[in-house]
Amino acid sequence: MKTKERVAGVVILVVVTLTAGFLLSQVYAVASPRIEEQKRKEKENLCQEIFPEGKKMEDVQVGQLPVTIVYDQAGVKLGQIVQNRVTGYGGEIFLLVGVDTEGKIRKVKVLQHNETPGLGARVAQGSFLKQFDQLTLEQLYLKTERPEGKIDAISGATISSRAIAEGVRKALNLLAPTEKSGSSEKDL
Amino acid sequence: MKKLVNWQSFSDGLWKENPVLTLMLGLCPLLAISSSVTDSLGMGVAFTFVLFGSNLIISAIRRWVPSQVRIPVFIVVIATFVTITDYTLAAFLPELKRNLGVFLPLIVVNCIVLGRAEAFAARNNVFNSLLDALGMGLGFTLVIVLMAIIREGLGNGTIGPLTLFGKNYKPFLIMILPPGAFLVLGFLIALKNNLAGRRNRC
Repeated sequence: MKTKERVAGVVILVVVTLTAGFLLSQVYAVASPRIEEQKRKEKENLCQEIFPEGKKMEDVQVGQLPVTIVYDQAGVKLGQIVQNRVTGYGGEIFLLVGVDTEGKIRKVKVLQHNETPGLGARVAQGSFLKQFDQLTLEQLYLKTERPEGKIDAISGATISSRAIAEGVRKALNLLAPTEKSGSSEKDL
Repeated sequence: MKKLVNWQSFSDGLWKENPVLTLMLGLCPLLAISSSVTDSLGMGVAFTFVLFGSNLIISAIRRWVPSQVRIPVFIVVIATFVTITDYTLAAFLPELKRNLGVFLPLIVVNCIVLGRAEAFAARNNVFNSLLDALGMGLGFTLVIVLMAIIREGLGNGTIGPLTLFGKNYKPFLIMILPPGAFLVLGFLIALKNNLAGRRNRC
């Protein structure tokens, strides 16, 4: 009696897990191409927002960070988009930094953050991020910082504002040698 | 409970045995997600779907599952439905999936789902279990959306895409921060107890 019950338990557990596994593999087979498609579309939309004239993209890895190189229709390089993260006030902030071929900021976007709602979270808004457009590396500091930069911090959220500026600087630093390829190679 | 069709299994979940306000289960996603109305609605629907599916399967196979292995069987069934939900959201509503974050896979260990499997679906027929799932799911969804309306409305001045009080509204920030969730939940439970108590006295 005891062994019979035990065997029944094992059998039912095996049947249930096998069925579940089979079912999930079927669902996954249907869903996975769509999931890939969604991921690709999402990324494409972000790249389009930064480089509206971009047509072709190429993913490379520079140092630790994923970088997307964007070309226009004729195959001329427009610039690069760096994905970077930086520690803010409430955790990590994920940034997308678009840089043109002259090493100037094209556009900065915040992908994900955990800053205080109503205060630090305002760094993710367009009005703050718009200040970064067209800035160069040495201008990417807050106005109150030394060296003095061109960015107005959001009042009450200096830490979050400084974190974004730092993240953008790091992304630009990473690209700097490849951007000024001619001169920097000579320096080395 | 012996009746073949018992409509009370549905209505209990809404009020008398509301999973959140009376049984006090599933508070973790409730507190975390209720800062946004759209996410709360998504969470409620995902949760109801998982509960519906797991109650259906568990009540259907209840006669063949020996009690020693019932918990692993429940977990496998629930995890299957959660994973299906996860894939579906990733394929069709990636933004909602991102906002729900870790709380979507955590439905696997949600006390309401496991609790209903153990306390209801394993002892009742399929039809009543489905009614129970709908009642409990709707009960959870109503409370989380109500909380989100209060929190997002006061704390951010918006309800989903709607702006409530115009541009000059200075948001009541604490409502959207974690303490606001506890405050609103406390008030809702007090209100529910008060209403239920009054009715009992009559």
